[in-house]
Amino acid sequence: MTSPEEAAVTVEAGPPVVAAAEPTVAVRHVTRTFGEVTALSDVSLDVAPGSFVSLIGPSGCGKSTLLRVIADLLEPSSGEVVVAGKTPHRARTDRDYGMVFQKATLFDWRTVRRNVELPLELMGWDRTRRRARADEMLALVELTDFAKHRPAQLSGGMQQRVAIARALAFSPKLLLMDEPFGALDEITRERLNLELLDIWTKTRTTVVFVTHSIPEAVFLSTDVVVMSPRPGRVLRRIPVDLPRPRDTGTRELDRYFELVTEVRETLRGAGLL
Amino acid sequence: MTAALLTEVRRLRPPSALPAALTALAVLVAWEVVVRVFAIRPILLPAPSAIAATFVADVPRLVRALVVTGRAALLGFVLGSLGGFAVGAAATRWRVLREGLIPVGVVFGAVPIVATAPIFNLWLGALSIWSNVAVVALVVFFPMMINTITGLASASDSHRELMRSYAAPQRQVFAKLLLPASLPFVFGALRVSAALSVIAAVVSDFFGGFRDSAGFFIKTLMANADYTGSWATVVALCLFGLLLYGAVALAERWSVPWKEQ
Repeated sequence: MTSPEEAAVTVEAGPPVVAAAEPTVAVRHVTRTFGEVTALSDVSLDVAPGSFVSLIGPSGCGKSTLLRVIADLLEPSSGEVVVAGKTPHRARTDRDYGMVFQKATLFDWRTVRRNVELPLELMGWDRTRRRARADEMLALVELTDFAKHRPAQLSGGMQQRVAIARALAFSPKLLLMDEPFGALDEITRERLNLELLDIWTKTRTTVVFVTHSIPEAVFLSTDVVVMSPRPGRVLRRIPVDLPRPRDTGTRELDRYFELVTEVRETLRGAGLL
Repeated sequence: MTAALLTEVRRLRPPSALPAALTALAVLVAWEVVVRVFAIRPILLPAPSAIAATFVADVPRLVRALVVTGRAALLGFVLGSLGGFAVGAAATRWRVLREGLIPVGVVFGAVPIVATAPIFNLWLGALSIWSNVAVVALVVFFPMMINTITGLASASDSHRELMRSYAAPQRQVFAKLLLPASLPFVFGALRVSAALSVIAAVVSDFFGGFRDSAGFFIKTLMANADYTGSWATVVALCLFGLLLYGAVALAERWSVPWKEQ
C-alpha cells in the first residue's frame, strides 16, 4: 500500500524525456492488406523509450495486426517499421522484444518455472543461470510458491502472470502485449493492471499494449492511441498526464474520468460508439 | 484456484482397482455357474475352473508359446511403431510427403492382415520369425504414422507464434514444442497397437510353421478336441497383451505426466 506522502509525489516512471531520443518503435505509413481487406491504412506511430503506449479500438481496427507487424510476425504491405533502430526481423532475431498473448500460451508439459525458463533455454543459457533468473522473475510476479506447479493447476490470472514473467525473463527492450487481460474477470484484471504498472516501473521496459478496455488503457498508459476500423487507422493519440505512481485511487481522480471521456468521445466522434 | 484444489483432491484419492476386480470376479462366477447348471459341453464353453487347471498344468508349454509369439509381437510392435513415427515425422517436415502419404496410409490401414500373412510367409519364409514380425509391424505402422502426423500438428497457432517471436530455429520448435505436444497422440497409437500386435502375431501364427507358437497350439489343440487347452492358450495371450498394454500405460504416465489419465 502506498502511504499518503508517497502518493502525493509525482514520479515519472519512464526515463528522463530527451528531445532527440530515438523511438523504440517507429511505424511509418504502414499499410497492410489481407486480400481485399485493408487491415491497416497509412498508420504512423512513434513509441518513445520507456513509454507505455496502448492501442485501443473496436474489433477489426487493426490493433493486433499493428502489434504483429511490429513483432515481425506479419509483414507490412507497404511502409516502414523500425524497432530498436533495426528492421523488425533483425529485432526479432536479436530477441529485442518479449510478447504476451491473450491466451497465456504456456506449455502444459512444463512446470511454471520451466515455462519461464523457455526463452532462456532457446538462447542457450546454462541451467544454473536459467533457474536463478526464472526464480527472480517468479518473485517479480509473486508466484514463487507455484514454481513447481503445472499451468493447468493455476487460475487464468496466475497463468497470465507466468506469461509476463516469461516474456520479461531475458530483459527485452520492448514488451508487446496483445489483449493480455482480455479473458480475465474485471477484478483480476484491475489487480493485474496494478501489478503490471509495478513491473513496468521496476524493469523500465517499453510497452506496446493492445486492449479494447478504455479504463484499462487510460489507467496504464503514458499515451493512448485510438484506432478505427475498416480500414484500420490512427484516429488520435491522447497523452495521459495522470500522476504516478498510479494506484487504486487513480481510478477515482477527476482527471482519470476526463481522459476516459476523451477516449470515449474520440470513438463516438468517429461513429464507433 | 478451483482447478488446483481439484487436482489436489484427485491426488489424495488413490485410483481404486476394486470395482474392476469385483466385476471380473462376478463374470467368472456367473460363467462357472452357467456351465455347471446347464451342463454345457466343453466344446462350446469350458468352465473357468477347468481352464485354470489346464493353464496351471500347461505352464511350461504356454511360456514357450508366449516366447515364440510374444517375441514376434514385441519386435513387430517396436519396429512398426518406430517406423510409423519416423515416417510420420518426415511427413510433417515435408508437405509433399504428407499429402501423398495420408491417403495411402488410410487405404493401407484398411488392408485386412489375415490377407497379408500368407504373402509375408511366401516372401520371407514360413519358418522365419521375420514374416510374423512383418505382419505385426505392418498392422502397427499406420495408426502410429497417422497419430504422429496429427500429434505433431496439434500445437496451437499461438504456441507456434510464440516460438516464432523467440526466433527459434526449426530444430528447437520441433524438440521443445511439436514433439512434446505430440506425445499424447503417440501414446494413443501405442495403446491401440499393444492390443493389435498380439492379435496380428497370433493370426500370422495360424499361417506360419512355428510348432511352438501360440497360434499353432490353438489350431492343433482344437483339432485334437482339447478345448480347455486352447482356452488356456487364449488366457495366456490375454495376459501377455495386458502386460504389454500395462507397460505402455506406465511409460505414458511417466512421460506424459501433465495429462490426466
